[in-house]
Amino acid sequence: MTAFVTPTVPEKVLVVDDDQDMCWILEVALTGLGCAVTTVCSAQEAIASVALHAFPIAFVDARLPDMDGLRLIEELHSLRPAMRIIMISGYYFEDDIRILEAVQASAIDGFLAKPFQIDAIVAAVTGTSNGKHRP
Amino acid sequence: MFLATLDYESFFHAVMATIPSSILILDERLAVLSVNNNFLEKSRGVLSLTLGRRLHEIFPAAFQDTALDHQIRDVIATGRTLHRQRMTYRAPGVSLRTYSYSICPLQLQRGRRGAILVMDDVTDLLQLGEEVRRMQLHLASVVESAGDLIVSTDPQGAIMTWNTAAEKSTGYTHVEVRNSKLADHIEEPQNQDVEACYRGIAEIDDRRSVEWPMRCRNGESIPVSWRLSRMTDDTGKVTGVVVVGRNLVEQRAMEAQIHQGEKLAALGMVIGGIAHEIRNPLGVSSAAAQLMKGRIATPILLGECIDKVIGGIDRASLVVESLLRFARPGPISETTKVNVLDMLKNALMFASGEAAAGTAIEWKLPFIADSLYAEGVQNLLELVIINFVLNAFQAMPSGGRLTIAVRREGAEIIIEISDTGPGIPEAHVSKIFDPFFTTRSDSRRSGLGLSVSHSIVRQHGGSVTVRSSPHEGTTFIVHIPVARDRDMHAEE
Repeated sequence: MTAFVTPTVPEKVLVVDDDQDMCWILEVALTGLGCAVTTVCSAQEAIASVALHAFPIAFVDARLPDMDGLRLIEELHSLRPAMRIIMISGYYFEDDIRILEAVQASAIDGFLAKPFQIDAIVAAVTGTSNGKHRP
Repeated sequence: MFLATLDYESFFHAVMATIPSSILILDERLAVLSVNNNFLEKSRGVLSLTLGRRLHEIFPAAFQDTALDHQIRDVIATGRTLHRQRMTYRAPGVSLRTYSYSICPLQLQRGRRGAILVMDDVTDLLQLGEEVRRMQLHLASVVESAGDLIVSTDPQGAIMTWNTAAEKSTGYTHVEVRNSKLADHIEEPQNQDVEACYRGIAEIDDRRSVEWPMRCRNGESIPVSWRLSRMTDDTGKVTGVVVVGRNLVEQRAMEAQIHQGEKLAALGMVIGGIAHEIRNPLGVSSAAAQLMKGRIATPILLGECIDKVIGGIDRASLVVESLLRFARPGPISETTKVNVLDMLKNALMFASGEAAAGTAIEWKLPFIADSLYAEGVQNLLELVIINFVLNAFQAMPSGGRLTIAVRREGAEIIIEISDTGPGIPEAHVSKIFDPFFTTRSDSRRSGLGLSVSHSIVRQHGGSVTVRSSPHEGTTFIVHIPVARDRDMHAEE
């Protein structure tokens, strides 16, 4: 519960997931930490949001209706190179070759397989996991 | 007599000059008495330097090793003609030539005897023959080395030749099959087609191939694709038929392998999609439960979390259920009265998260829509509608119009779900209900949705049809039976 009082919580967090319940869960969890959470359910909306606002961190689903998550991450990085991006997926596991490559290439700053631990989300936003938390 | 009018010398020279052979007239000592122009041309000799010379002086050295000397002396001694001998020799500056020659005894003046040597240059003739022979061998070797079965028959269908590939494929040798009917080597009932082909031999079309399975020695039957061509003589009369067959065994095995590979790849994609479909609600349930464990302060949020846990588990079990239904389709025993409008609204609510921005939804309902009831299992029918609605949304990634129309026709409820997407290519329409058919390159809901939907509707005693036109969109039409009349007790 120390996460609730950590002073390093970023102000704004972007959540990109086409599953509305998942967006809701992340919103509740992150709002509880004191973050302002923006949730979007498609890659296009994510790109539009990132173009308008600088989010220090984003959680991105690996499979979106309009674009592959890894491709979206590339686009987001080109818009905001400093943004930390954590991928959340029910499709991949953390030892999937594409995920390992993406982590190695620093394309993503962390990966969480669904179902995940809320603590891992907390650790990711507070930076206590160094962005490479493995659940 | 006619001969009496001849000038013999002039006749002699004319004959000598006319005959296209080389002619030498020799005496007993084998000295040259006369030669014709042909000989002088061939040997590049001059008449004045040739006459009176001995045979070995005018022929090259290599020639002396031949039996010619001896043969001429023998002919002169015995008076017996020697016909058609063959020798090869090279005149100075001329390439190697082959001659056919005959030696004939000749009575000279004053009782002396001589011989006449007639030589023909057969080099070109021999070369031609050799070429013909080589060509025949080549053709034979083409036929023999061909991977295809090459069989020739007479116009009645009796086998004349049977190449090595035919032997290898069938196990029967040429000797065994010669003169037997080709039709006897083809499995029933296609052997009837073979006979029909020979009866209508004039109609044989070598552009068309036919598949006739062939009977082999080991009792097996192999698939063979055949092409028939007529052989005709100069007058156009059919002298036989050339039958070329391609053994399809390997091709079939390869096709099966590719098909299997495709199935496995499709299965892999479906499994990926299923994993995603299940782990999402599991993730929601798990995270909601974790939130409840100490993180949630207000009772309202707590209630919402509980709903998410239950909802997530329900969604996951619905995916599993649809998989099981797909794997084991069976009749549905426990059906209820399903309010069609409620069911459609629920389904739309579930699916609406997938709609792209700019998607409009239009309802086309009869005024009695509230009282339309179908006979079925609400969850399953909802799943069907969810699938069709998701499908429609996916067909319109940049928005469009989803139309949901409902009506009752006799004992059926008809639900039409239309999108304004690109339409389904005609070639795909027949396959879209196949479990593993997909045109999507990613693995999300890899085509299992439509086949599951189809299977569920069939279990309800209904049907699904599709209407699609390019650029205008696609409509899925679901027919399901209306609710049975229930008396008051049953309603209770």
